Amino acid sequence: MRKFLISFLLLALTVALSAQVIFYKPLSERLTGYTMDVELDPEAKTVTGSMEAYWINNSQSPVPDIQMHMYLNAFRSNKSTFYRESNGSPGSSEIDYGWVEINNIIDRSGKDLNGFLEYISPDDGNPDDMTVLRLNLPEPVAPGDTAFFYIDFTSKLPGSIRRTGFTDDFFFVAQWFPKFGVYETKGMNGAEEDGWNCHQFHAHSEFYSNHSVYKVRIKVPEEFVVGSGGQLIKQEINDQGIKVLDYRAEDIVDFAWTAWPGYSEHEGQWEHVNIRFLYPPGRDDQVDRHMAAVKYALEYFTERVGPFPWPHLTFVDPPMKGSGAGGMEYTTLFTTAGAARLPEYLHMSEMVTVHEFGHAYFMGMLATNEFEDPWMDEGMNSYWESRIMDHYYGPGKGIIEHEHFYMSDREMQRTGYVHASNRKVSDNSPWSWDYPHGSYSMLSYQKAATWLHTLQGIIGEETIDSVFKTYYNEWAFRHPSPDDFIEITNKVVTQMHGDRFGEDMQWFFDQTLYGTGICDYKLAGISNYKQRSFRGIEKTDTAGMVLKKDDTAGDSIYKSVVRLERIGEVRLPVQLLVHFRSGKEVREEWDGKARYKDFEYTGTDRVEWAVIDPEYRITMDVNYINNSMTTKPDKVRRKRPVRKLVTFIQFFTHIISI
Amino acid sequence: MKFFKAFTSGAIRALRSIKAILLFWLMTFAVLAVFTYPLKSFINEAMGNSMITNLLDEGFNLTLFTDLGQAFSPMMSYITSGFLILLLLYFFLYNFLNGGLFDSLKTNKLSYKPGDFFRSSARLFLSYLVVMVLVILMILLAMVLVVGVPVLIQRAGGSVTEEQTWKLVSVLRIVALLVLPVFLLVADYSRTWLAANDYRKVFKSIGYGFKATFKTFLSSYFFMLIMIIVQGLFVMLVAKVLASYTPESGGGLFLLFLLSQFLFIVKLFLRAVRYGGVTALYRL
Repeated sequence: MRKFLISFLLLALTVALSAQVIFYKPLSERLTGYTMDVELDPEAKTVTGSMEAYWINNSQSPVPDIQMHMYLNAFRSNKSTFYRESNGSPGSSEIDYGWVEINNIIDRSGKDLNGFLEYISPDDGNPDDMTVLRLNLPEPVAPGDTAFFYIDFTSKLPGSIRRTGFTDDFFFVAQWFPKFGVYETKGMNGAEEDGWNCHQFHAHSEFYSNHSVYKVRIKVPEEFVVGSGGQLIKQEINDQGIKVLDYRAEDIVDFAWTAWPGYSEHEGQWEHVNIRFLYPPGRDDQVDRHMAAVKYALEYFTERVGPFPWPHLTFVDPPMKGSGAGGMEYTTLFTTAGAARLPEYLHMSEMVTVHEFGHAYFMGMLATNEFEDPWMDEGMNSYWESRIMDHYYGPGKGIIEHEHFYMSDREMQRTGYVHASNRKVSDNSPWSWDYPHGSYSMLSYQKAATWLHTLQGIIGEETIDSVFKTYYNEWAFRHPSPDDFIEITNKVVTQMHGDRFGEDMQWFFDQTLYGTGICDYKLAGISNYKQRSFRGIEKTDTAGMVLKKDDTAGDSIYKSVVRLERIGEVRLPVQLLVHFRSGKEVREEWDGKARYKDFEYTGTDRVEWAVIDPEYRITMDVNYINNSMTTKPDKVRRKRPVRKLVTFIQFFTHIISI
Repeated sequence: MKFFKAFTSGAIRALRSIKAILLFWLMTFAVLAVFTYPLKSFINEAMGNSMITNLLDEGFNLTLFTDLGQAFSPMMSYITSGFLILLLLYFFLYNFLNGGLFDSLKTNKLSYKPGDFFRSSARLFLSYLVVMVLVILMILLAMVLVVGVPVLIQRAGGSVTEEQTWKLVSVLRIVALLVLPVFLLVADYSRTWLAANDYRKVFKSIGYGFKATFKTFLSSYFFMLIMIIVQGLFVMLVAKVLASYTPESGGGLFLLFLLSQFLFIVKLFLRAVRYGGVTALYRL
């Protein structure tokens, strides 16, 4: 009987424990993990609690220190690197400032480590920056060993929400706890030697973390509605009117949460994923649109890149007063940016939903270093966002699909790049805060998305999908670098196309990812010369010098020439579509390397028009106007919009005059 | 009774002022042409013999503007700065021509001469300009008071949802629409008075405008409200017609031109009915 009872209790315990496990087989190495018990004080705007954290040394050498991000200290003063770079200030009153403070830290044996802490500034040496903390260990962590820390900490949230913070009773709690940097071993992500990769918090940068397991207990006053990146395990309200929520999250790179009494909730399901949407009252009309968008994204990514493994996903549309938290991503929790009564034809808020969800792939699963390679998350994700938007909302209509006017997401990305005055100021290789002349967003989002579309245009949709599938299969839940992506591209393109595009695709990346040149192909001219039969003076034996003409050959033979020029520095293979008067069409290929290329045709037909890149595959081309030319310009098409514009002006000016 | 009289008399006066309406149209059209022709040349030069306009086949593709590449920025700055200059020009021009139109409506004779039209326009220009500026300022102030202030008060009051703000704004928009006829009546009565009396006494005319508006409030107000609604519906109809008509040939393009100008003349006629109706009410 006793044996039976013990067996039964063990079984019950196993079942209870396994009910909390999300993945029986870990998706990542889980080199770090956090167990937290924290409480929100809505009056003091603080989150206080304790944390058990571990870090595994997977290198071959002993590690003498631990480096941790203390992101909230960016809001500690206007001298922090974050505010020095943005030339701003956390605010005017004490409540506006944000900070994180370790109240106590001990190791597994109970040894007090408080005296071993020091703030460092590995990026800029700023003595006033306190966003990276080094713990000089009394004894190094041996290879393969796990270091455990027990930390009591207080996080004061900043008043002006910049991804994280509060407004009144709205809280978005992100980048909020002491968090391990990434210990990179030699060769990993281009590292020349083993060491911590733990950057300061910059104005223009995001993050880099190990995939971890989070067990987080959050305590808030009972009226608060809470959302987080974890799966809710248990929820109860204690005698003091405090809501206690236990969350568990596995294999995610960050844990964030939000609390606000005003949230409305909506739940939905997509295959295995339980989707929870938190939004402010008054935006009920937008719920279906956001839910549809996130399901589109789940479907498209699953088909084209790889599965979304988590069974839970929460996303948040912050209220107006918390809009600073909008448009941010924490893998299984993300924020969108909505508004009430947005017209049906405008898909900007769906675009944000798709984009932020996409980060679950590009840096969530494929955990690139956002500090150092921002294009690998923002650029790749913008590329996929535009594909999804244009796929589901109509080709060319991903952003606006009005009855009379429209715009595609792909073109919106392209416009951001091709019309930027600083588009040539840098390539895509600088670290995020080093992009010059305010080019960070344009180069890491729009340019990267545009050259990825161009890559798709060259190698084809099927091939680029295969590239990303392989990239996912080989690098999901690890830390890929630019070289890893290039290597996979080269491998897949060679497998699928042999040497059609050369030995590999390095020539492409050298010009786009690592190049600053622009791409511009021009159709410089079309000429149709009549080939006349012989007519000239000939000396004859009998009649002397006489005018002779060959009447046997017809006068209707033409030599047509289509002249192409490469104006930009970037050299890409392009297609040419030539249309003859008879209706015949010819497609030509040009490697695009020379400064010019002439295509000649001789026959009875004449060239009527020609277009370089007729399907607009080379999205990097900065000027589409000069891509085509016709010998018979359609004046009606040109005059039509002008006439309508003029009529609009006529009526508009009369209406506003009284 | 006055209410119906305003419509019938307004329409008759407008019909008798057809010459003034056509002169009005001709002048505005001439100014528009000054703006249009450089725009056409600019587009022709920017596009050359490109086939990029094919992108307009399925509607107004905003992508086209992005595809204008290097020409995009100067073209947009031309359109926007040209548009602002045109707005300013029209502001003065409409004000100028309104003088002639009011005088023609007051005279109420088919034989009204173009010389009289321009003479009155010149005579009344400055006074009308002051009336127009003052009434526009009054309208803006009223809109701020009617819409902006309540919204600010509501939002300052604490936790207000967007839905509540939307509801308030929707109600206030209707209130604003109901307030608007009052100011238009003040402007029209003032201008009628100036056309009939001493054109230099601007502030007296505005005082008269308010007095006349409230003296015949019900008939004046509902006349103006209905005229605003009719003109609004007409503009919506024009927008629908012009947006859905896509000419494919030179002839079709010419038809578009004729249609748009005809509709604009109808729009001017409706405005003349409004002015004529107020003139009739002034005379009653």
